[in-house]
Amino acid sequence: MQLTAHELAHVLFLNLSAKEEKTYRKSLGWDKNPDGTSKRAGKFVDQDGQDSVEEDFANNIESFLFEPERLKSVTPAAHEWILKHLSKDFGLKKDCADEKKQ
Amino acid sequence: MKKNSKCFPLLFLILLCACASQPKAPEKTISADLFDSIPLGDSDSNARKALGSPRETRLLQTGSRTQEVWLYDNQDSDHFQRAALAFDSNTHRLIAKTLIINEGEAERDLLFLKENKFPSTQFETIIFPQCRRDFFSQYALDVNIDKGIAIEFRRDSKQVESISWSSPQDLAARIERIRGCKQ
Repeated sequence: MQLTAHELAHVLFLNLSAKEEKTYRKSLGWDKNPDGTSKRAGKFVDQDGQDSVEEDFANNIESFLFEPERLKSVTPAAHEWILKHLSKDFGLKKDCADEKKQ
Repeated sequence: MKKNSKCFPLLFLILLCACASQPKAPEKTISADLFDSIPLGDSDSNARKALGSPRETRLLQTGSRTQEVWLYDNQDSDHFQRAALAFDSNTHRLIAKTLIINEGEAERDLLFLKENKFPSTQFETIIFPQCRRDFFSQYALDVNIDKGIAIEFRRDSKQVESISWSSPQDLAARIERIRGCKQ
């Protein structure tokens, strides 16, 4: 389940508009260097997030869904970005009750 | 007392000159033309005069070489990153630069950019390989290694993200890193 969420987060990143991607980069402090690399300072919920903005994004979405308090404490800017740009209702459903009603 | 009163205007003038010579942060977003006016090899002091003070500087270690990277933002409400310059930390000469293209700029269109800014330049497309099991990049590079030019663009929309200039050697090394999944 957690793995699926992570993989879907990669798809979500691919579908961000250019502006949404820029707001994410800006909010978290991802800057481009002239040699083509990108870096940001601060803490990561998973160390492989340092490899790229894409991996950082997927890790943060996964953390938001499964360990939101940890994300809020480790990378609060990511928590705020997700709340602001996805939805305040973005999260896991407790059960399938919603689908049954429809 | 009289001596002090003579010195005061002189001291004030010196302080005023010192303040006036400190370049401030750019008041307007850096234009492509202004960015083009700073060639590779230029000094950091010339770059500061032309572009103003960067938002941030950082040291970047590449092999045995240390670069000082200067970061600039757009001067609008979003303050997205606009440019990055890299200087050799020993010589203080510009060795690489990147301009990030904004939404709405004509250069955002890959075809337009190549036809208008680089009409006589041949480009080779470098596709980022799938370096992770679960993800591949949506970006690609159009490069001319001899001229040290790299255009980064989104493959789906052909929208240009950034234009970079560096030495042919540094660009070749960048491509090697990309192909070897080392960045």
